[in-house]
Amino acid sequence: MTLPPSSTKSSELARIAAEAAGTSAASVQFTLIHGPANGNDGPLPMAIDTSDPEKEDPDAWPTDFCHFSAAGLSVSTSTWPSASSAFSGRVQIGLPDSIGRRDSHSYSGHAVPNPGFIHQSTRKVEVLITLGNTHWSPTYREALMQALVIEKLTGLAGELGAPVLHLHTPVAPVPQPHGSERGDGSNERLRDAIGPCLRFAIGIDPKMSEARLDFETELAALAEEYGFGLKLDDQRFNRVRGEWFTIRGFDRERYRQARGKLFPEASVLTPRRAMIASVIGPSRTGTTAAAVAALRARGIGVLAASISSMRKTTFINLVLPVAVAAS
Amino acid sequence: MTVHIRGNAAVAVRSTADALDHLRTLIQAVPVPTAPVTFPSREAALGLALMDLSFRLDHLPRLSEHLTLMDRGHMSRAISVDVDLEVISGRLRNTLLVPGDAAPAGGSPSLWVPLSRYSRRDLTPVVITDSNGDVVPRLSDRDANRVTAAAFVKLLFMLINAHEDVAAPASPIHQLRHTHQRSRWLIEAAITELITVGSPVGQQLHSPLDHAVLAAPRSGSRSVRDLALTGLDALFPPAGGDHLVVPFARLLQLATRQYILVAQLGLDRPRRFLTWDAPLLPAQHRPAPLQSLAKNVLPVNREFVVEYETEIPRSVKAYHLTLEVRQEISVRRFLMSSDVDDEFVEVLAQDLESVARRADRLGGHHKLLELEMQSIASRLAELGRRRLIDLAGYEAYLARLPIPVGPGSAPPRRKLTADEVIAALSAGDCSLEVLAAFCAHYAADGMQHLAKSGLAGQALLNIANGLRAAQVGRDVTTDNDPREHGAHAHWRRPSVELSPQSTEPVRAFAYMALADEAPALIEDIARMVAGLALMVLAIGTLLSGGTAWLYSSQVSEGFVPEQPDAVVAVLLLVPGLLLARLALPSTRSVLGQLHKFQRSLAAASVLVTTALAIALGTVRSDREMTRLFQLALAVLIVILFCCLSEFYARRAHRSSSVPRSMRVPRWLRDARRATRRTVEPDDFFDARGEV
Repeated sequence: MTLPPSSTKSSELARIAAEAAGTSAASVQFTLIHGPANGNDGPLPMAIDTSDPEKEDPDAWPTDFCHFSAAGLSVSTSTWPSASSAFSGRVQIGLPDSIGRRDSHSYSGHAVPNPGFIHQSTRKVEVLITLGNTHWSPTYREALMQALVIEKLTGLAGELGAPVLHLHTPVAPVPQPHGSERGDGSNERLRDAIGPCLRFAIGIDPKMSEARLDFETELAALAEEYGFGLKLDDQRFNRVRGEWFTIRGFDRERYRQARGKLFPEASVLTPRRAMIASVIGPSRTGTTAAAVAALRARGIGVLAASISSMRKTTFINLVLPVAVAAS
Repeated sequence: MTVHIRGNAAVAVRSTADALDHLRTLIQAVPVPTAPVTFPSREAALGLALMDLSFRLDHLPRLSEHLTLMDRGHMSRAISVDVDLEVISGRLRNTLLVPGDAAPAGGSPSLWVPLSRYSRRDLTPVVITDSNGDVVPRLSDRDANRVTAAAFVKLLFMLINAHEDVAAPASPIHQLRHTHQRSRWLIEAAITELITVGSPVGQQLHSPLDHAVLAAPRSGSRSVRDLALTGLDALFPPAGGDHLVVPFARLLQLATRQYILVAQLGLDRPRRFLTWDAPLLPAQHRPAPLQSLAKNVLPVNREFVVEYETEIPRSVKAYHLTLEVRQEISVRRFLMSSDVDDEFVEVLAQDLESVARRADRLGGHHKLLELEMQSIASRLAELGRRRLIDLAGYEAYLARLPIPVGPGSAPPRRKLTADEVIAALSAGDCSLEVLAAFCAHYAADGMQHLAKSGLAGQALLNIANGLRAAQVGRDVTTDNDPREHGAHAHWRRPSVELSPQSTEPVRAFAYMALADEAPALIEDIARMVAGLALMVLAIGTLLSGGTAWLYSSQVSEGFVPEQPDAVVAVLLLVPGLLLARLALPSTRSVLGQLHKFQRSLAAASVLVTTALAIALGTVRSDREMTRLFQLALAVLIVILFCCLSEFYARRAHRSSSVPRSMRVPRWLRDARRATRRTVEPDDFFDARGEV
């Protein structure tokens, strides 16, 4: 008796393709808005396809939306399925448009989705990395260190062929002093975060447990080498997402030493200016590692990062410190 | 069994690679097109949506199968499903909308909805009716094939478009996309041909190339074909790469071996109940001549064992399997077992093996090892809990049988301490009582700090082997039909899905033991044989004038009657009349199979009396006649003993606690200490189609 080959992945391939190629969909249309966070005009708007949002057109609203804000800058991303297929190459992006707000720019374009980016059937391994235990005030040196950590982590995932499902840093930032009241109306105080963290998730085929164990062991070794704190999502059966299992605590002294040894030249000042860089393309493993490595090769660190995949198109949004000489 | 599961990864890759091999053969064989195969984008979208939905079947919350055993060797199936169109998302619904369905005044639009997939070998027309008895229109297989082909052409185009080499000039992918389009058209034409023609399982694809020796290797279309093949290899690298080859090949394999059953359903009634008759299932006879001979000639009270295997979409919440047989036949045992947790157990076993192999490396990171151990422990405990519920259901079933099998055959319960549980698990004992005890200790926080216990390391390999051997991934559902000639099993999807991402269909096996229960034919035959023996005894006693002929070697004078006609008439008529009163079934039917031995008993007893009657008419010697009467009585008594041993065998069968089938999970057999070897069923029906 032989078992038939698993059809889970085939079914997922069919599903992705069916979603990507609906009656009125051949590509992904996206709009990306870069702008200052907490400006006078309020948060960045969600991009809407038509000028009249009152009109009841469900297709006018984006199917996926992502907003990220850090270091006084924010980026908002919206995607739609689009019928347009009249472009060659994988991504087409237009010139920036002004959206009538100061220092804000909007970029629109089309990308082809990658139906081969199969990860729904994989087991998600989430990692929380602690990069400090005080307020978030990264220096140039720390930005480089962070870029190194991101490159190492995504590189590790890339070696295993495991897709990065999302990566965000800083997460759990220290709350603003006036934000002591919760939005839900309860009187419970906001709990202080333990420090700036990096949270990321990769998808590994559950049948490749050796790869997962190798990844976790390498992570623990990296944590030991650089001194950052490491928590993994609690994989016990009845635990929910957001429960963490601490593998290593944050080792402040070792982290400081490693940082100093690796980047002795880098400035220990906090950058005064920052800019956003976005990389967009069909989702594929190894993209993030390549993008961050290219930046690091030029001596540029990463202040904050938001990497996510929407409609099988990856959006890598990085907040980069602007060098003192340039500012 | 376990070995097979483990060795399957390679088998799976090879069998799915066949689909791509067939595609390669066709790329060599079909004429190179000079224009692209054009499909409207609407058809491609519809094809992809149908393919997607036909795999998941999320919109079928309930599935019922009604089986009727027509005769030995054929089973008819009526399938009914509940359909809930609300589950289909809005965008997908737009794609599935039946075009040109100009809604008459007040009418609402309708959708093409996939209901099932079935083998291309089944050519019986399928008529779907709804709850009012109205026939529901279907998408013809030809149209379904066309939209499937369109879907594959679109999928291929999307994969080429998103490939990383598409922007690299001179790479095969770039050439396929931009400069050498004829090669892409060729792949598309080959896919269309493959899906239209189909490729049956286990057969080589015949192409005209099998009959020709091609002279010029570098002529005309050769370069176009070569580029198509190189492009296909670049898109689906056979080893490593992005692991796209298996999903795509499997998709293509299923599309070429199965049809999608698509019905047109109006959106005005989003919840529907549909019924159709599936093609008649022929039995797959297992050759076991010695075994069937033994069953037919020995007084073992034959049971007719039927096994049935089917697939349930994983998203189905409830599945009903009902069986109906002729009223004369009783369903002695009915049991369903599904492999719903098999994938979970396999992943768990692989985790166990990986942790065992990396125990040294993980040991350096103590907390990491503890996390892995706790994750393993929580899953083991959950498995123990689930199977214990199954076992309790099975015990309840045995207790409510018409002739209950009490707890007498069950072994006494042991209570284990945490240390005993760990010791038992380390030795590879994954029996249900150990797992249940582990579950209890885990829930009571008795299994903390496992990284330091003896469980980490080599013991994990033993547990992995034990889990596979005990088949703990299989559940058990029992019969709950009070009728004797019918059975019904109600399977429900577990509330917490252990492999949540999987869309792999659940394989379900049903075991049915059909028997002739009281009032059975054997009882009538036993009475008849006893009656005949009494008749011979009475005639003998009357003729000899006493009972001395039974035990004495003395021969009484005048045993041979002066006028034997009356006695001969009695000896011929009485058995004939008795035999005519027995309802002997046809040999083709299941009942005929069950009664095979009993029928020969009846025939043998009649033969004895007939022979005696012939002897009465011809033999004139008192001595010989006495001996013949003694012989006839002895033979009848032997036949009577055979009848009685049938009763004994029936009793033994009835009190058997676990069916002797290899499809019954091992843990259940172990839990009831069933040590007898398994036997092949009389009939095996496979409704899974070509997969």
